[in-house]
Amino acid sequence: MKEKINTLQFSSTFLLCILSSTIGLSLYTTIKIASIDTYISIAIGSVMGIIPLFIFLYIFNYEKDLPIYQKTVYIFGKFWGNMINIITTLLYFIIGMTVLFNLSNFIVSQYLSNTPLLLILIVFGITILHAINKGFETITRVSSIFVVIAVFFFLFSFIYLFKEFKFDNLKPILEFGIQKPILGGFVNMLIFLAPIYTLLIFPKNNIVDKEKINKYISFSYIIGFIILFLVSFLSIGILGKYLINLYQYPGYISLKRISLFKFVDRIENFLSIHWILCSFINLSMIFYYIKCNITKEKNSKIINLILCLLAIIISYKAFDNNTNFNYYTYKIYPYILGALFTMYLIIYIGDIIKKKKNNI
Amino acid sequence: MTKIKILLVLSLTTLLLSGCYNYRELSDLAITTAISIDYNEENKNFEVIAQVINPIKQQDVSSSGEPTFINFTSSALSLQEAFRTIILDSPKQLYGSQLQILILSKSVLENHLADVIDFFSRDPEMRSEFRIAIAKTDESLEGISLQTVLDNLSSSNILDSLDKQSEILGLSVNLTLNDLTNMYLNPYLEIVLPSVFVEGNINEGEERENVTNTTQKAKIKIGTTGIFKDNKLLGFLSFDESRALNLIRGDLEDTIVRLDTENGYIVFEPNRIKTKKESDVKNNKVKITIDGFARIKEVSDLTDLTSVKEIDNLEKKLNKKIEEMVQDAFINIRDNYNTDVFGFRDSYYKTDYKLFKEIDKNWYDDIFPQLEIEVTSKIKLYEKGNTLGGIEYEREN
Amino acid sequence: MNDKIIAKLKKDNNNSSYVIYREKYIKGIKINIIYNETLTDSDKLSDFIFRSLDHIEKIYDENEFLYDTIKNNISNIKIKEIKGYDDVCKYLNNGFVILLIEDDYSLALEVRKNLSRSIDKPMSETTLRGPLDAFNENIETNIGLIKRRIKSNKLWNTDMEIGRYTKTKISILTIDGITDTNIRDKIIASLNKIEIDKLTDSSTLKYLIADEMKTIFPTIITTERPDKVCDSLLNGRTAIVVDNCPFALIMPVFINDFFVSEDDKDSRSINNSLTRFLRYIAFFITVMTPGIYIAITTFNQEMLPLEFLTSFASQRASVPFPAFFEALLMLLSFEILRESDLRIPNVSNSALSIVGALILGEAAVNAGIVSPIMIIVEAVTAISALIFIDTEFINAIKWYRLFFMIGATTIGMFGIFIVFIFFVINLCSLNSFGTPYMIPYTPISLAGLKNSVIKFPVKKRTKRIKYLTDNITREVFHDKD
Repeated sequence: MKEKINTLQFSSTFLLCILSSTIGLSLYTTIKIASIDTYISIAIGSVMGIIPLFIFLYIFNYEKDLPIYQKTVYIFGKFWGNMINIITTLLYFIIGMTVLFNLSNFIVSQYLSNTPLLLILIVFGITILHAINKGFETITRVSSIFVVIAVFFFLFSFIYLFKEFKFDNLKPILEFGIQKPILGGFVNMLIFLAPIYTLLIFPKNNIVDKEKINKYISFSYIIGFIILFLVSFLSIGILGKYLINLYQYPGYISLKRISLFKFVDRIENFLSIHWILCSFINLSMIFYYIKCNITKEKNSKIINLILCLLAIIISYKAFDNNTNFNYYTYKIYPYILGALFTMYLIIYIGDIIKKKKNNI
Repeated sequence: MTKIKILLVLSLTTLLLSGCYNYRELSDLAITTAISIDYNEENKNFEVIAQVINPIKQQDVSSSGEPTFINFTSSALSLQEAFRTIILDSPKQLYGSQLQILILSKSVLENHLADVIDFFSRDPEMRSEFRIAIAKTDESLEGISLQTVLDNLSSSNILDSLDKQSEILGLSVNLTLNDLTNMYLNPYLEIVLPSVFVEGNINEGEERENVTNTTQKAKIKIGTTGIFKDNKLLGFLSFDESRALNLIRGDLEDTIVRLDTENGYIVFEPNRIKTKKESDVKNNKVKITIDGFARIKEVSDLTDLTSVKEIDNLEKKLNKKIEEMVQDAFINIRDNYNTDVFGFRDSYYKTDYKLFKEIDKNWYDDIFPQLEIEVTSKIKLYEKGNTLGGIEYEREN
Repeated sequence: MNDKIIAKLKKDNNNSSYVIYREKYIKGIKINIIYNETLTDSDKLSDFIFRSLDHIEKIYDENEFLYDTIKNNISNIKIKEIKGYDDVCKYLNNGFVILLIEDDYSLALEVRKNLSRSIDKPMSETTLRGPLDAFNENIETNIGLIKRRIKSNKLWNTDMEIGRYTKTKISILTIDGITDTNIRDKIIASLNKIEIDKLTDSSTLKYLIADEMKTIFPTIITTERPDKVCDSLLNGRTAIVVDNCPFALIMPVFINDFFVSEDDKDSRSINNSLTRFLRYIAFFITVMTPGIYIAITTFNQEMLPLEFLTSFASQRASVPFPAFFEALLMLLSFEILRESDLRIPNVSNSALSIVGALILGEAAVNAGIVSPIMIIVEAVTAISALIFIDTEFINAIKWYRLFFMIGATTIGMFGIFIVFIFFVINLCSLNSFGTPYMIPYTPISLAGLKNSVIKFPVKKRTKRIKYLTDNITREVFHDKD
């Protein structure tokens, strides 16, 4: 990688990758597990998430010159290193398909009910193709613009939804004990921390001001966790226990309550752009990671095109309809994420062993 | 490479040009603003009236004889069929995002409420911010077809009336679809709804003359709250009881209270009222505290409003009157209707769920008839308007 | 030898009647005097050169070399020694008078005629409170106007001649110690590879050296004002001045430069921030308004309050076109009006356009072709576009306006979001001569931010942008104690 990137751009990409799970995936599964105590489980999950964050920072700081696919080869040798690369690439492909389908599902079910799903998938595919063709530097620059828009819209929604918040809707607190929230927190942590490992594709030496990068990443993590927590807290407080289980996207439904001076009344369509922007950056990073693992940094447009087409077609055929997708999200998806985390755990352990060997 | 690009672009354009799927011109929409639903027991049909705006320009309203809205009726076994078949006589498709008010009849509420709620919450086009009301008599369902003067649309008339009265009078509750769904799904809450009724001769009210005279022949009015138990309508409350119910639920902000004295009456306006409820599950008691400020609005009495002792006296009497109003309403509802519309069961559950689970089984037999409330009203009298003393008092002295 | 040169010259330019040949004998030695009548000032020629030649004839000593005598004694300050036929042609065509003295020794003396206009007010970039002199077609006047403002030895210029037939002179200006010389080297390298017939103005040069051929947005600014050139040079940019063209080129360019005007220096920083903010809002209005209107009235009608919806519905009931064609029609007619505005001679300028706008608007509404709300949307869009000075930028915006409209017609509000994402990606991936286009927003640069949407007072803006130059300190107020 010959590009030079700012710390601000890098950490804003990090933040947007975390925030992309506030619609659909993470809220849905956590609500199914721990219905009214979702905010507690998100808090617990964020505290548990310090461990994957630590693993990320450690791998990031080790061998600062190499991207991840060369680091594994360096640590484990050629055969095992390439095996690990292939496994993580496949897992990320499945995760990418899930996020893409989730976003298209959200759009089709809430905005445009008559358009076929394939059209929305193709439109997103083209956007992601364009972004991958331009390279990593463009993606980070775009995300440092989008982070301003996303945070501004989040703040706007929070301020105007506060007066609709009823604390009564959150009681009784912890009625069914603490095990469900802990399990929900664990699953939630898996979901919202999955995409950050794609940022390992960039070697640390190419970042300007690289001493401060650890602080910036931790700061973005804290902001992401606060926003997630507030979204779930406010959604439950506004809608209550029964409506949360009824609707699929409670965040969107609670945005419908914003009413400013009775004039700016129906802007939930406009405000939900920030979810689209976060998911877009997340998808671009995932597909960029897959592309780099395959072509090793040559910019080949044909492979990008084939990758996007494959993603569109397979995700359209694999998840036929909404119910299949929800079932998959609830039952199968956490195991895939768990597999991904074990991969990175293995890399981390390999790091430590290699360092000890080098020291000896 | 260029061949692949061309192929991709061609296929994309064919997808895009083959009918833009959600594209609807404004002239294809029939904007629905009010719907009323009734259920007919004999042929087991839903009977639906939908009120649609007739878009004519503001300048042309008085000159042409066209009405500003049109009603369509239809009936079928399920709600979807009833609404879809309206297209057979209306040239435009119904568009429900701008729906303002939904009026239901008693039989729909008692037997088919689940169908109605499912229909309105499943459709992504409907926004669940419209108000719901119950029609007092079956004839009132036609009330949405009456012509109104101050607002061209009769549904805007009803909606504004309902919204404003909950701000300045506090007579009926003001509910949206989400609130109704919450009340229906929550096993510990009972349903309450505002009511509408028609005053006057409804047949004459549908004519054009209803708006060309200064007094209308028929009007649609907001009535008092209707209370339910297990989805069965028990009755409609009186004026004072309805306001007290609002007060206990915490929705009352501003109202007027009349205090009868020896020679006349004094009218107060408490506003910025905040209600706080604290439930004590063990002793089966609920403490209600009412805070607010009051002004004197009308005096037709000989009291001396300039003396401090009189004002303190009046304040005490006002607070006592409010407490009495609330206690009377509560005891009346508890003993005569035996339904918990105040939400006490839910608040017991939320305060202490362990104890509540044991006593919940016989709520209506044992616990609720024994429930007592303690009302403390701390309203401060702070202003009396422009004049210092009452007119009669000034005249006598 | 000289006769051969003269014969070849006559053959090459077909014995042109504007090239005058004169012979003079100084003590028996023939001197040929050749000049081009259209480019030289005959008064100066007669006054200075012939008179001094007469004087030389008197002091000439036969033992000396005539060439040296003439060179030392001719009373013209600019003398060039030339050899060979090519040099003779080059200097003849540049307005010099050639003295062919002896075999292979020639002199060229400059007696140029002033063929350019006087220094005038700028045509397109007028300000209310700033200097009002603008470039004209003479390159020496232009560089003089710049040198007047930067009175330092560090202003370096690199000259090149481009064009086989036109041989236009261009000058690349940099300031030693501040400017990054990469750009200059790149330009020289790329110009050396090209051979081109003509270069009549700086716009052609713009497209010869621009390195990104596939972008819509302009990467080079043209300007008419010398004070803008001086400001940019001292900020670390490079400028090019071209002969015969009153527009100078400045590169590299950032997107913030299109929102800045020269009048900004006169206002307070707080008031100016409001104006800058207004310009950015106008930018978004002019790009997105037709698209948002189409999206709201055809796909997302739930975003409008009820009164608007009934009013729009009643207006659109009488129009036969779908919203996209109506918008396109209005845009087309407005663009035609604008183009015709540029072609009409100055006399009847404003009257015709006002008549056109009024009649088109009012009559079209009454005929039922367009609805009144569409006219308001178009008027707001068009007026917001007039805030920008640079015409290239406005032309680039028009493409994106069209894309937003297409996106809105196909998938509504969501289409607008997708086109917005494309728009931002395209802007962020641009590099103008190696520096990112979207400075100071990404990659973030504090020095640049202080002069972008919000403006800080002069005392606080003490640094230059570090992506432009390495020498970032700019000492503004140095307390001497």
